Amino acid sequence: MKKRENIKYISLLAVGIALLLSSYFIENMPKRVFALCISIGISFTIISLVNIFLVIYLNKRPMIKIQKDIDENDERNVYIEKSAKAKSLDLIRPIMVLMTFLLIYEDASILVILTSLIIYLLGYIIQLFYIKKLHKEI
Amino acid sequence: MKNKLEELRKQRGIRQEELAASLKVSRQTIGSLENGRYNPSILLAFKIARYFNMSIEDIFIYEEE
Repeated sequence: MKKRENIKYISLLAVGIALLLSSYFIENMPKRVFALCISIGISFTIISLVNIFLVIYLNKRPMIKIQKDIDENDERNVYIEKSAKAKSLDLIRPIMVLMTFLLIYEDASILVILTSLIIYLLGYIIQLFYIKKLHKEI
Repeated sequence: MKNKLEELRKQRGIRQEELAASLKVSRQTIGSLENGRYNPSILLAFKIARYFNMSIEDIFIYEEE
């Protein structure tokens, strides 16, 4: 599992560097593609570097690594994390409705309004999917 | 749900950190259990009971509301 995670971060770093290099070396790149390459490249590079350094740091300090593993798997911490996620989703939903009304009020394009509505509905569809899936599993 | 965790731990002279390390949970979990702010899963309740060589019912007191 940990080895797979290391491979994931190294692959992410490779993709990030490749995107940054392509934005630097490829000439006549459209502005939007250039901006995407730079932003995704920087994000991937930073995220993977932080995680790779974290893995190295923890491998050199086994006691901290053990404590981190305990904290990550601690049932109260897992419960708190799940409750926080659920509460944040509950809070985001009315904000999304408000945002859709604001977009309508501000005369935003129909595409933007529809996208906001679809994202809102998608949240419910994903929730229903997981309720059904978990009812079967548990 | 009430429990005798703090009482049992103190009787045996164990620190929260030691109990947490033995049960592979965080120290905060032990604190929350002792204060009655958190009810353990059945697995953790079994682990605690085995640690003290007692039954779950001897440690955790179920009270109907």
